[in-house]
Amino acid sequence: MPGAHQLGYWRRVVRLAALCHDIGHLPFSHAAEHELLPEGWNHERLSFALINSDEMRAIFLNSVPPINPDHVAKIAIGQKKLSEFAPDVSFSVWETLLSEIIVGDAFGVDRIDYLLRDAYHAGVVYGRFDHHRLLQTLRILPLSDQEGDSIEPWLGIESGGLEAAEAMSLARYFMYKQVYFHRVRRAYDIHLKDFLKDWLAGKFPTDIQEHLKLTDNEVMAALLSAARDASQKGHIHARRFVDRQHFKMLYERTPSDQKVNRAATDLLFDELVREFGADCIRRDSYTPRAASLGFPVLRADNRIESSINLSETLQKIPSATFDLILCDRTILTRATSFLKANREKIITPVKEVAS
Amino acid sequence: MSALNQTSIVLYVMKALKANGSWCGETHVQKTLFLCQELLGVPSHFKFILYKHGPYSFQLSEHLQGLIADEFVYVRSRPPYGPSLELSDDAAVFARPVAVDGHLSRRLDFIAGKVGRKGVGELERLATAVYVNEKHGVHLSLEQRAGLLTSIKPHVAADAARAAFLEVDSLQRESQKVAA
Repeated sequence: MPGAHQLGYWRRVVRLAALCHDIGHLPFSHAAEHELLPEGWNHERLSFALINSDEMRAIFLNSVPPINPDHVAKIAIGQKKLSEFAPDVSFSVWETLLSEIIVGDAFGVDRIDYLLRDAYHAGVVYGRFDHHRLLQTLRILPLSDQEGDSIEPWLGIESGGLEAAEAMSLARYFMYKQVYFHRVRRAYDIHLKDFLKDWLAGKFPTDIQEHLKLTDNEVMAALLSAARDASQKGHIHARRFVDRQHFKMLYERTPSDQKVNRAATDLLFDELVREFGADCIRRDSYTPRAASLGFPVLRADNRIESSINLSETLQKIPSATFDLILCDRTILTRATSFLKANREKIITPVKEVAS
Repeated sequence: MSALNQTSIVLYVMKALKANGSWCGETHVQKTLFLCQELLGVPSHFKFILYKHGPYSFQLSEHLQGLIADEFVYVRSRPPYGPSLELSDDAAVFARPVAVDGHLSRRLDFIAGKVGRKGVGELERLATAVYVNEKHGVHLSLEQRAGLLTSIKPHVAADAARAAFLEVDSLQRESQKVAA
């Protein structure tokens, strides 16, 4: 851990890293990232390229005292993502702790920020929690899963902040269920992605200067233009967007169907595509990727224990997940009838008959 | 490797760890699979980097979260220590492809047998020692390697680092016989 005189330097690094963390996002953030960037690219890699651009490096290096751009890049992006495109970059224990402040699953400021901001802009209260209390109780504590024989330092909290941590985890769960996974929002992501595929006629550029030229505004202008002119690329998708003729939800994975057949949604999707054509049917799903909600907690008696043991709430928060089939609204009635008549037959496993 | 094969290996390792008396928290699964991949060439293809308690795979962590979401695995609180990962009844079905592959299951059983009783601290030191060997080569002296480990993990004492390398060297020799 650095001496007191160095803490000021690292405080500035963390602030710059927080500001630069999502600097490489594409227009409309995540919507088209996975399909419309070349293989091996994501917004973190674009952030890394921007932080290391001549323009940004000059800003960091000319500040007083100079800031090492490599430090900003590491803290801003974190080990998980950086290892995907810069596997030789190593982190000290100190750098790991600082990057957890930005990108960590439990208390990352990125997560704190997007939940509060998205809730505010979406006009919902699900995303709110006492982040001030959370920050006040944040501590560096030994991390251990078992018998306390490793004292590796990690980000944890004092027990007084446990309720704030629970509230944040619940906020995240509700925001996912009610906002990020809302079927209409997912439908518009699909239409935006379809439009961008046609409009870009390829992938998003990864050259920094070209990347910076494309913002939400350029995409919105192109979308409106394409919606008005049938000869333009992506016209049909732009029309769905502008006229609010989005695809409707036809089927959502249910525990009862999963009980009959774990592949129920796959089978139904394949059958619907066969019956109505791929242009009219879309599938959208999400499997949780966040790490567990375990972190060290400093109890009032100075013992350190896992948050999972101390909080029944954290133990019981389910993983937010979804699996939807959507369809063009013009076939909704027919498709609904088709599902009603055939769902059970499609998902029921065929029993093998002994010969 | 398909996700299903990865699932089979992960579930089998958890089962083997439990059979060997392991606490079977996420760290135990992480370090055991790292050792299986590095020492015995088990083809689970998780990418490991230095992170929480040494070599750590975010891919494996996400895979475990997926298994929890699909109810193959569940988290059991075990105060005063960290939680354990438990297998559901369905999990056994998905571990079966590995169980019937004698060459693969023998390798996984060997490592699970060696580390099943170990705690987080020991696993951290062992796995980090293997990482140092892989990255810097075993040709370095014991002192040099122990020095590298303590520079990566300053909370590990020098004598514990040396002991970890001695154990890893022995484990590596035994592993070569098992892998043959």
